[in-house]
Amino acid sequence: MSKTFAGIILILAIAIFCPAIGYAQEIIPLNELVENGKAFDGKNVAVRGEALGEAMERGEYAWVNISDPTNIMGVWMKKEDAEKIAFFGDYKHKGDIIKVSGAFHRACAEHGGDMDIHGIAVEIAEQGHPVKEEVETRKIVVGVVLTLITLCVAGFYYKIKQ
Amino acid sequence: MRTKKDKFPDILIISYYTGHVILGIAFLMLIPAVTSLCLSEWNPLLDFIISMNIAFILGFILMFIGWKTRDNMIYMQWKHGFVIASLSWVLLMFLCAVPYMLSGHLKSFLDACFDVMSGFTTTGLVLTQDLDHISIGLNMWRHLLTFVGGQGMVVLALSFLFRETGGAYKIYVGEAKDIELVPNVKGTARIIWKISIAYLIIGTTALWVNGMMIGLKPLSAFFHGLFMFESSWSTGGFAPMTQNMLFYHSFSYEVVTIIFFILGSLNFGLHYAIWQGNKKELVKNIETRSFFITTFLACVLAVIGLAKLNVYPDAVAAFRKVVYHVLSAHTTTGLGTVYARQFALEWGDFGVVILIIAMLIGGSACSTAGGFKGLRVGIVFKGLLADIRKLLSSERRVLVFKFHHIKDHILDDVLVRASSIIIICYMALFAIGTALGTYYGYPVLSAAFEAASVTGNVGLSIGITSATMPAALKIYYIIVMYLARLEFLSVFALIGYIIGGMKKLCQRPLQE
Repeated sequence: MSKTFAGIILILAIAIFCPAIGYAQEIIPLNELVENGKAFDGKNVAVRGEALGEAMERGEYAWVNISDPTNIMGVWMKKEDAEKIAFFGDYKHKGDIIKVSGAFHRACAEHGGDMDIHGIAVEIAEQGHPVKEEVETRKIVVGVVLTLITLCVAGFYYKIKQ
Repeated sequence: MRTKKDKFPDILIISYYTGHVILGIAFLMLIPAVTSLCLSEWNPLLDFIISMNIAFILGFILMFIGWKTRDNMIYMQWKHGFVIASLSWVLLMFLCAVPYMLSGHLKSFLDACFDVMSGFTTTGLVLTQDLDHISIGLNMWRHLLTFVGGQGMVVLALSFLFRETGGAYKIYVGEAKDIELVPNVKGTARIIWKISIAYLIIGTTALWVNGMMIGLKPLSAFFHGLFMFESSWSTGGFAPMTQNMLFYHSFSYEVVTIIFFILGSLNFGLHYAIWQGNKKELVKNIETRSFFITTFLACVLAVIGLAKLNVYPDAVAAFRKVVYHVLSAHTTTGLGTVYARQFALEWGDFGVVILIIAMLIGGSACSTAGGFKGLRVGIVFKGLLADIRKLLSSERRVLVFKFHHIKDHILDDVLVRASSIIIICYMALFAIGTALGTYYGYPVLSAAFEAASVTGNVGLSIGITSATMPAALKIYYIIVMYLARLEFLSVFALIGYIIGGMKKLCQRPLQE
């Protein structure tokens, strides 16, 4: 009985005094970091967003820019972490959604004043995929018809010209 | 007696040559179409085929309407040149917006027109949604527009489409380019293109190599290099990614763009003089002197202002964030390495005011830059000094003041007045833009920042420009970008021509 009681007390104490252990770290929208740069400067934050473009490797580290519905921000992460990302968002791909925990810098001294996040933990939250391009038949028809009209008009014009 | 004027009504002359300019842009659409084809981007390919055909059809129809005036460019008057230049820009805005709209990345056709005008005028403000997922073909089109807009669409058409050059100078001047590098205007237009193409090769290669060094893949580095060169050289401000220059996180990439946007903001006459071996022109020219003095002062003041607020941690950050943005603003480029909201939240009023002044002054006349232009600032400043000296010297003494711009010129009151009038026109646009911004509820400094950005064809934003901003503000910004790029005269000529035409139409029934 006393063991059970002690267990409950311990769990409650963890939940109250160590929220970071008791709960998953709260995801902060990127725009909130931009709008409240001074308040978040130097603090550990957790963000989540789609990896964009490509990873730019710089020695042992790499830059990965991530986008959430509110904004986009650069994450400075270990090369191994960047290599975990299979798809980067572009015209033909939906990029992997990654979750990053790390230190936010309003004006990073290491990176020439960039607003960035130095990722400590990076995990893939959702796998990206290639985007299948569907071509509308209507577009093809309009394109062909307009091309034929252009050829007629151009032919008529050059006939008069000669 | 029937004059040639009677023989060729204005509308026919305007129609024929406007058709030529539209045809030039239709051919230009081949470049993004081929890009899309090579990269298997099928939807963008179809978008460009549709848009290109619409442009071809309209171009041929206009040429057909004005068919009788062919080979009679010699009878072109100043009013025709101005109206052709300004009307072409309006028609091209609608035509070039078609592939944007078909891409599905714009919320309305007005937004598409806004982005096209922003590209043509080398402003660089963007309303395109989800820029990071658009096709390379559309990105090619965006940057090509800004590159061609910088040199001038009419310059493009003059270089390749017009056989005759008799009245071409009048269209060329209508596009706010009045320098004569060689006696033949077609030759001048071609020299402008040769200079730009030479820099295109050098700049793209430099950024391509640099791109690979900072971790971009070779093909991607090439496209980024090409797009960023076009944007820098044209003082445009577009970038293939939403974050603009911040995407690259690279000091070296920023330095290369600085070199090319400063070069792009210099007068084509100056480039040609240096190309011809006249290196002293760089030091003697009133425009470069004015530009370097105002740039130096703006950089120093902005660095001091932001250092007081402890915005950036060290000298490197101060250079990459403060000096970069002052240079980008002063050359009217608009490339940025900070978030738009950081200007409002962190830079403080003083830093923002410095940027506003730099954006309004702008680059050189007959360059790809916008703003009042260093030449006018120099002339007005010299005119002021001349007036003071006249006041202080004896009335019997005749003083002659000169300034150097490619060659020596006498500073007369007419020139000073003309420069002052254009500056007043720019200031009026800026003031109205600021007032309109505040009317829609934006803070006065933010409204002034955005108004200065559109007036100077810059492209830096403090956060006002977005798809959700009021439609009236979008329309006003489009008009301002257009007026500022063409430096008023051509647009006033077009408005005068339309009003004159309407008067005639109204008077005709009364006379009958």
